[in-house]
Amino acid sequence: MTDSMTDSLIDAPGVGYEVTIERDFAAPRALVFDAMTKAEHLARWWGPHHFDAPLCESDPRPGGAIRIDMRGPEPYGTSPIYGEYIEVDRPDGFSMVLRGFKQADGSWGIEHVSTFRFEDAPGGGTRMHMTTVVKQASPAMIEALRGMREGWSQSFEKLESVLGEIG
Amino acid sequence: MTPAADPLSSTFAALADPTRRAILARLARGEAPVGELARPFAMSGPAVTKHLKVLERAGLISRGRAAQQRPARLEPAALKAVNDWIQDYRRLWDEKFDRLDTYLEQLQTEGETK
Repeated sequence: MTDSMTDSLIDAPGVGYEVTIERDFAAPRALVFDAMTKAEHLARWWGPHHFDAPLCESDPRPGGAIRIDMRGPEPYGTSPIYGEYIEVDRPDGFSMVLRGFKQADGSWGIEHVSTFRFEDAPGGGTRMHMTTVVKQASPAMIEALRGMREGWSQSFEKLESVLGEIG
Repeated sequence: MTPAADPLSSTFAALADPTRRAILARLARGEAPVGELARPFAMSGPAVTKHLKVLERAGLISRGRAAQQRPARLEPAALKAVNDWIQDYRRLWDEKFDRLDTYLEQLQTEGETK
C-alpha cells in the first residue's frame, strides 16, 4: 500500500466508503435522467456486461419504489435489487437507496445511497456527477461478479474473433 | 452482523466517521499514544479509547500491549481491502455507464429515424 493510497483513503472527508464518478454523456439532460429512472429504459442497460433485467420497476418520485431483478449468465443466476427514490428533481438530479444480495443471515450484501446530479457539459451533452455512499458491503458479491465476468469476457473475445472471421 | 463474519462491513462502518478518519490520518505518520491522539479533538481519553476500539475491531489499527498508554499503530491491510473493494465497485458502475452510453446513442438514433 502506497502513502498516496493511504492519504486518499483517509484524508479526504467521506473517502473510504464513498465512490464518486464524473462522466459525460452525449445526450440532453432530460434524456439521461429518463434513461436512468424509467423502467423501460433501465431494463436495457442496468448491470454489468452480459447481464439483463427480466423484472424492472421504477417509480421516480420521492419515496417511490425501485425493483430490479438483475440476471447474469450461469452460474450467476438472478439477484433481486430493492430500493427507493429519496429526492427526484428532473432533469437536475435524483438520489436513491438500493439494497441487494441478501445474505443467509438476512443482512444485505450491499446497501448504498447514490446521488446523481446532471449539468450541461461544456462541449454539449450532459455531465453527470455521481456519489455513492456504501452502507453495507460484502466482499463475496464483488468476487462473484469479478470471477464471472472474467470467464465471460474470454468467451466473448472468442465470439468476437469468430464474428470477425465470418464478417 | 459480527465483524468476524464480514470484516469489510466493519471496516466501512469504522471509516464512516470523521474523527476516526482523522485518527487514521495521524497514525499514517507513525504510531501515537492515546493522549497525543486526543489532543486535536478536544476529547476525553475515554472517548478516544472508544474510537480506537472501533478501529481495532475493524482491523484498521493495532495497539501495543506493553506501555500504559498502549500506543496505536495503523494496519494498512484493512485499508487495502477497502481500496480494492472500492476499485471493483467503481468498475461495476463504469460498466453500467458504458452500457448506458451505448443505449443513449441508440435511443437518439431511433428518435431521429422515427
